[in-house]
Amino acid sequence: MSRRRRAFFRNRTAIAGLVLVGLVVLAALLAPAAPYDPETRTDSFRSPPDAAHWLGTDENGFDVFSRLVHGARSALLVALAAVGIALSVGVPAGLVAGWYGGWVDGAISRAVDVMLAFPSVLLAIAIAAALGGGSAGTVILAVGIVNAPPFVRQVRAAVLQVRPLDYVAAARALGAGDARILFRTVLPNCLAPILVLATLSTGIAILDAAGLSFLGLGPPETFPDWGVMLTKARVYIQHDEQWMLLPPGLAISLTVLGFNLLGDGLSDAFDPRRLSRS
Amino acid sequence: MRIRGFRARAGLLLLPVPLLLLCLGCEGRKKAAEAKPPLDVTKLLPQAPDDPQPKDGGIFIWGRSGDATLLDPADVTDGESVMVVTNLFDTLVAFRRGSTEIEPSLATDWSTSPDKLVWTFRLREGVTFHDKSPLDAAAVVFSFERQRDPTHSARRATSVFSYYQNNFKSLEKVEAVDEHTVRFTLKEPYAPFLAALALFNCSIVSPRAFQSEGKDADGRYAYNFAQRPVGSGPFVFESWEKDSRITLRANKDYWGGAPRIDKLIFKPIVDAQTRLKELEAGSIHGMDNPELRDLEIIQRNPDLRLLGSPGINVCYLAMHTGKKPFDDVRVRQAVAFAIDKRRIIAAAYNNIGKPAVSMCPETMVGFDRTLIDRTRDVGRAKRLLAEAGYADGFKTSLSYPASQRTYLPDPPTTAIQIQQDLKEVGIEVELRKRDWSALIKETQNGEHEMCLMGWMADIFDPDNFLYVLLDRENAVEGTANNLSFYKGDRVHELLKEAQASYDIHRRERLYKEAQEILFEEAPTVPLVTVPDFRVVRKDVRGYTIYPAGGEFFRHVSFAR
Amino acid sequence: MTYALRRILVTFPLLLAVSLIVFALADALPGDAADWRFAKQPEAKAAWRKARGLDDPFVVRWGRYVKGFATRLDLDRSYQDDEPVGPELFRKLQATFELTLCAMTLGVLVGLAVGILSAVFPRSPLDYLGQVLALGGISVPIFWLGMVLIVVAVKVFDFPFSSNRYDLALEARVKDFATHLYLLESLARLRLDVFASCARNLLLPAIALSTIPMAVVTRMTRAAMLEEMGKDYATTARAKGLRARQVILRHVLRNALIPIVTITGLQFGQLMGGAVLTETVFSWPGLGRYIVAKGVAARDTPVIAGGILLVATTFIVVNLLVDLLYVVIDPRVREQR
Repeated sequence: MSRRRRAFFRNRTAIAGLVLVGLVVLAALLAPAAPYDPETRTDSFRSPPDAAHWLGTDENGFDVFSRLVHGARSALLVALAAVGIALSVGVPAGLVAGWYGGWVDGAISRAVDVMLAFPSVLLAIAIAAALGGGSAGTVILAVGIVNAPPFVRQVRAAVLQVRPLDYVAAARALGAGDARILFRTVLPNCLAPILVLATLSTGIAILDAAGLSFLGLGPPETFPDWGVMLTKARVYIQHDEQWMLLPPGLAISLTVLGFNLLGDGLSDAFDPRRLSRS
Repeated sequence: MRIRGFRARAGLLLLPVPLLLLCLGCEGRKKAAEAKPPLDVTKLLPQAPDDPQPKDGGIFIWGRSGDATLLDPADVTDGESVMVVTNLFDTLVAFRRGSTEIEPSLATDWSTSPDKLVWTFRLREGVTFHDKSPLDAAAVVFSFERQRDPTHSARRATSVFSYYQNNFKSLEKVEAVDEHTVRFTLKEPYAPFLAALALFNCSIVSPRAFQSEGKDADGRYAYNFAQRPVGSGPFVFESWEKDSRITLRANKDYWGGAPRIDKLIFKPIVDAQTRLKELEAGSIHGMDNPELRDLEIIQRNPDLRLLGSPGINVCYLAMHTGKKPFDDVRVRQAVAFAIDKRRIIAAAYNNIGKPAVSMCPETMVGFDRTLIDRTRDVGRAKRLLAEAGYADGFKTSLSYPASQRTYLPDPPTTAIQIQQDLKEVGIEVELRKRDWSALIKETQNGEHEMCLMGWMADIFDPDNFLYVLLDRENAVEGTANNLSFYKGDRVHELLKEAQASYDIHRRERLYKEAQEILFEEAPTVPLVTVPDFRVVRKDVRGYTIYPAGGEFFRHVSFAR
Repeated sequence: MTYALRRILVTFPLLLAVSLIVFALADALPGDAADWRFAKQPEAKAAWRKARGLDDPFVVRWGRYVKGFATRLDLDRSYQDDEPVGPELFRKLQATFELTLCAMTLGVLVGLAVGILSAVFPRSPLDYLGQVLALGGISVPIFWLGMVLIVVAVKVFDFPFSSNRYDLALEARVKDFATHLYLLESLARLRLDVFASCARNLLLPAIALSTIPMAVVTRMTRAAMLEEMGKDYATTARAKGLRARQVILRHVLRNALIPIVTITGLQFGQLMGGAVLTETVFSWPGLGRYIVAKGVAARDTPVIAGGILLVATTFIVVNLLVDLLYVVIDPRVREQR
């Protein structure tokens, strides 16, 4: 493990990702210290950046900087909750499919095939719309569901790899039940690929959620959300306020970039071939 | 790692790219922004100049925010369908060009009985439909009968004819007296009757077109009129490519004089900014519903002409008076005192539009000019709330449309400003964004607490605002237009009396009293009346805004 | 060949399951377009629902839907005007197909070139460019990129921007077209004025959309090339004195191409759906925007169901074709599976 950790920290990709993600997490944690409440208007509106409002104010009179900082919090919460849903659906399904095989595996794998037959954006739109749309909850659920299939596949593949190994047989010989073996023995040995996938999926979930917001299926407009901010900025692309595109757009891009770099870094660190070479 | 390691540095390279691009973009903008004359809406003309010697020919393309849904004039309800239909059909009486006054159209003159219950119209002779069949009294009777008679063959299983249902409740029968004379008999006096006859749903349709393909199994005409309409208007229907374009061609035999242009195309371009881009590029020649925040850009553009006319509409906040705490008039007044209309207009209407005092817009006859609006008074609002027993405020919700309407160009901003206004007096508002049809369903069933809505004139008559939006007869759950479900008796008496009177001065007095009561009772808070805007290219001649709604392109031509 | 046959047969139950999900989701939509159409007219709405058979049990309606699609390519009628939604959806599908095809071609060509070059010249400026593309394409929200592109194109280059597929003035020139693939058909018919107009209107959205496949293909190509170049046969070949370029083109690239073809196929389907955001930003009249603007916003259930079903069907068919192509490229697959 320590070799891996060393490999990880020697990897500049991973470090850059960690720094970017760290910054977003920091912003999310420090959000309450933002100069203004993101959901209470100030006296000025549509004003350019100045000393009082570092990134100006929007047409509602909300302070853009404060909304940006709070946006980090909601972006992380939405993305992590969505990935949480993807995990809690995908991991058990993958474990069961890989472990029991047979018709259970067949059924789960076919279901995954069907899910993957949809372009994920359209499926997310349909789910969000069917759930009524218009709230952070529906976004989380829609994004979570469409991101579940890769977890099923990943976990199933990992289980198939460890199932024939000695220590699993040993656990079984000791009389452990299926659930115990799955969660105490098999799962811990699949953690590495799950962690990598979860990191990359977080980035994807942020993009998906922003896309749903952009199409009008996101949370209500008071919610300090980058996707909502970007949608609002869109009407100004012909106007003097076109700079308003920058803060939320860069925030989303850098956060997703951070998660992608971090995911790559983790995957490099966990890659056994990588390890032997370095 | 040797190779992958510098992915981080490459990643950071990403940053400057969009920044650079955007800076480039901003550079280009600055020049245009320097000279910025303030926009005075009242100086705008409603009409592009007429050309004394207009050029013949050309294709005129009109950009608008959506496609039509159907083209049966009796069955359309949405503005996008209406503006097509008004060019295909004629009505007995019509609005004078650019005005709300009624003038003869298919009917050359008319007379009424002393009790105003029998109306006799003399039809213009020699008018034919686009299919060459004659437009006679029988066709007029056919056009009204099919809307009245639920078993009529020229009616689809899905026809609703809601305009007829709403406006002609008092119509008893329509008869052909001779080939060129029609008689309408009313059950009770109905003051807006003549104005209602100018409405698109009273378009005269070709019976022969309906009959041309026989009947289907359940006895209805098989001809799909809503997709292939046949009328007598200045333009003839040619083709409809869904969501892409509707093409009409000039009716060279039009009784009122053939249009100058050869073809008229309606092109839906949902996004207002894209619509403007196309207009700037010249791929369309005129458009409706420009973004209010784009008006300055439009006025600076030498290729474009911005037209405006005072709108006949009202955007309002309705409180469900059947539900706590809005059953208490003091709470409603507190809300009215809390709302800052000027800030709403500044934030969501780009400072264009006038604060509304009454549900009857000031651009409509019958508006009570003596009303003086409340000015925002947070202290007074709080006192009123305390008197009503809500010293600590309360929680409620506000339903608003997800998509923009003419009177509500920026629904979320308007809703948020109301939410913030009320927050400052202690009322916590949960915002509920609803798709249009979902909002209609929710509000007509009375499932909302507060809602943000608006109304545009169908018929040019105060009855169309006050009776429709505030009378208790329209506060029936399931079909309500009175979204505050206000059921005041006195207001009901006044409105019914005004409906039955043909004396304009008497009606004005009645409406004045009703508006004063409604102002005090505050079941709704009228927010704003927005002017109508259109944009045409500079070489377009003869285009006119019709304040009562619809678009009429028969006078349009291009400059020589 | 049995693999190919089995692969084709599997497609049918898959399509059936897809149609079930689509239909169920569209059915679960709260409210529908008819609520607005029959506003204030509950009896009329009830009569209409009855006439349309909307009160039948779910399974009956689904069965009818599948039967209609399978036998007549019918996708039910709109809730707004009772007209069949199929013709319009097919037309829009072709628009989206053309956009996706252009984006894909652009993405794959640039991605392949940059991927190969950055594998051959690691740590060169080209390699940096490759990394920027590979990371940017998956990290930057496409609708944001689209907006930035619009700002730049319009303000800086004064690029004529339009939401048509071709200039309306050219309408007479496309009247006799057999398909709605205007770009391809105008090229086939050598109507260069139409082609130029289509290409101009397609350029910005295609560039924006191409960043996604560009990223994936760049990354895949680079990785696959490095992998192959590290293998013994490549080293041996080079040691034997074959010129580096020959080795790369003849052997390494060929082997590297296999995973790239797969990913291209998968990407194509994802892009057809992902195009909804691009189409919305550029007001491009494609299927995705139509589903959202006409279907979701107006709650016209058949438009949503039909639209998504068409995209998913195209996706499945493209994947099928890619898998079959795989058999041709890599004979090992035939025995393996």
